[in-house]
Amino acid sequence: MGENEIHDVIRVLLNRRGVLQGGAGAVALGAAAMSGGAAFAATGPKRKVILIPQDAGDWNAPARVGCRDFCSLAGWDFQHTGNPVYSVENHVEQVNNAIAAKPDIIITELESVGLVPAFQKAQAAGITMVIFDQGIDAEATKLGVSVINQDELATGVAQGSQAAITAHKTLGKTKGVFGVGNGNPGSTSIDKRQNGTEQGILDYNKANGTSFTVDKFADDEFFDPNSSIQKWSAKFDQYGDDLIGAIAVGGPGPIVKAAQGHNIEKGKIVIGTFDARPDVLELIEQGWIFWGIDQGFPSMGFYSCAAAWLWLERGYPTKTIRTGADFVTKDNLAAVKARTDKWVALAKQYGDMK
Amino acid sequence: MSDVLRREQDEEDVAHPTRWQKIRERVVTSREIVTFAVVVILFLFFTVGNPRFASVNILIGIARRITPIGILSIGVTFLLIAGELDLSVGANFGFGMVLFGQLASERHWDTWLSMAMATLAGLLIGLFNGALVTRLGVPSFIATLGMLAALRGAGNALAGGVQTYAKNTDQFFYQYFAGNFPGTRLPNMFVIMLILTLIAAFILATTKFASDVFATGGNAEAARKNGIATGHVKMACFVLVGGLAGLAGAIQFGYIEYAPSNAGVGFELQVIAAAIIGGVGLFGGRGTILGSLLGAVILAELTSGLVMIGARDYWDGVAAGVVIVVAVALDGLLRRGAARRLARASSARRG
Repeated sequence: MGENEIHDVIRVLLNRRGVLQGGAGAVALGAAAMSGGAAFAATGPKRKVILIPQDAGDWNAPARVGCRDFCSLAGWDFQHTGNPVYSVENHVEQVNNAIAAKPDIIITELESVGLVPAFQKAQAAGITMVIFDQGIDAEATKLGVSVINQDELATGVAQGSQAAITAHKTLGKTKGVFGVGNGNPGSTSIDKRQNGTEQGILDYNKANGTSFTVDKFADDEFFDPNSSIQKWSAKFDQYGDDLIGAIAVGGPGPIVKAAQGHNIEKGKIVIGTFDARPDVLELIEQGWIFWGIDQGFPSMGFYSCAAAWLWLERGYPTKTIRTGADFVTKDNLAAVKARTDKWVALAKQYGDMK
Repeated sequence: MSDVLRREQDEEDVAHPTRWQKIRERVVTSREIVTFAVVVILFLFFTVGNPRFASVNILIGIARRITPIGILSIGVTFLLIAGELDLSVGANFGFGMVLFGQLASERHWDTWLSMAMATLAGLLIGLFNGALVTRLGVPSFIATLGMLAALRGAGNALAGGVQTYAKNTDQFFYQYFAGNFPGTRLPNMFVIMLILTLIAAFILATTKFASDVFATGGNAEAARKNGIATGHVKMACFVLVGGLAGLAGAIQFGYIEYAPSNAGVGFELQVIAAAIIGGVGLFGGRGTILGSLLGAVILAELTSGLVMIGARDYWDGVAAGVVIVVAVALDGLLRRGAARRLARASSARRG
């Protein structure tokens, strides 16, 4: 594939009007463009990218694949650093460590205003910063930094609507309580997911005359699954049969364990979550949860690097690219599993997964 | 019995406790009775707040929650009584989860063999901690803090920074740890914890090793002068902590069927808090297994109870902190009271 064709493809993929199915696209682009890699790389110097996910875990493995795909196209070096124990302080430290390594580009989250000084320090050192996954749009604008992520609030609203529709149309409920957990209270993005979910359910009430209520609470899912299972278990006991839905904004594992402990049958209550990791897809297939949400992490990784390339090589800024918000249900599970298998295989090939 | 005779009997009991009195002191003291009272009071409080708190489901949830904490607190109780501390117990537990998952799920080892390996790894970690403290003289706070950091990194390195998921969960191992004791609703994992607790309580109450542990923690110098190999005693306690951490990690994986990359983070605080609330002396020389278990129950009650009464999320941590402070303050009051009684008894005998 020649240089101009690759740029045309990237321009199409970076179209902001649509929700991008970037995962498959990124992989396809990577595969198709590999033969033209040498020509593409010649457009600029070799650069170094460091990706710093705010927290360790397999959730960021597809983003790493996306980054590696782009970097192999562009002939760039890629490094991923981990943050085994999440806290804003640890995240700042990881960014400061990366700054000391003097890369050309750092891709990381701006999930808290506590990261702003680190971003400013990196920019002062001449490093191009790109926000992926979680970002505070207002701060990103002040910093003049690209944000490549899912619109957390809008996706939360969509999840809330999905929850209400499922309860109303599939389970025949018109009233009841939705428990909506938050595994990381205080994180702007995760809070948006939770608040958006509540808003979606309440908006559905107004439009359809239902009387669903929402109980938002911190469910410890990100940090302590043992405690999370107990909290969800207590939530089931608190409301009894009035609890018609249990919605996660991270992982649904503790909800499912708590439901199993209460002998709740599959499909009896609405369970759904953000993310579409392999374990989430497994639970959808088993019938324990109704949906997951594919944020498009391969897209986030790929377009983050592409945005940096456009800025460094062409001086063209990219403000915001919204990926994801692709609901995964039993209906499209096979297609999602097929593309998941692709990035998992690549992740293993790259050494990001075993 | 006249007052004089009763006083003389009390003084005699304090000065020369019988074997039965010694055993009873190591199983349940006034401290454990107070702790149990707190368990009951909290139960009543939360039941008034939400009558559904008094349900079998809540008790089962508490039972599952306290299982890993209870197993870990057995070893930590021995070690605290011996006058040492292991901050790496949570990281060891998390490492055990990851190691088990990697062996059983990724390398397809037999699950029970994988559990044995996780336990063995924990034992070796405990041995290393013990060697650092007893052979090289590194303060346990420092030695185990370093081990905590090392194990966190080792766990992440082993898992490649991603979660480890159980495979073939229809195997008996996973069915067993997710299931209940036949004919009951008691989780199997909780039953195992109870058995371990009873064995540990028996050992702590009746054996010479336990006497050496108390003596070592009470006054290490005096214990050494009395011929107790305090180094060996502490080493044994560190090994016990490590082995139980590995075992608990494997059991936990068997139940939740995955190991997050941050498995065990903060667990050491829960375990040590349970022991402190239960009356185990932070500076050695006293404590019971029952007390630590009751401390774990209190922490779990707070988690479920606050959810049930609809309290704001952050009160969980505040409540746990308040309970710890009250427990330590109460402990201080009881110890001062006991010391005053002993002093009165001694001066009465001399008089």
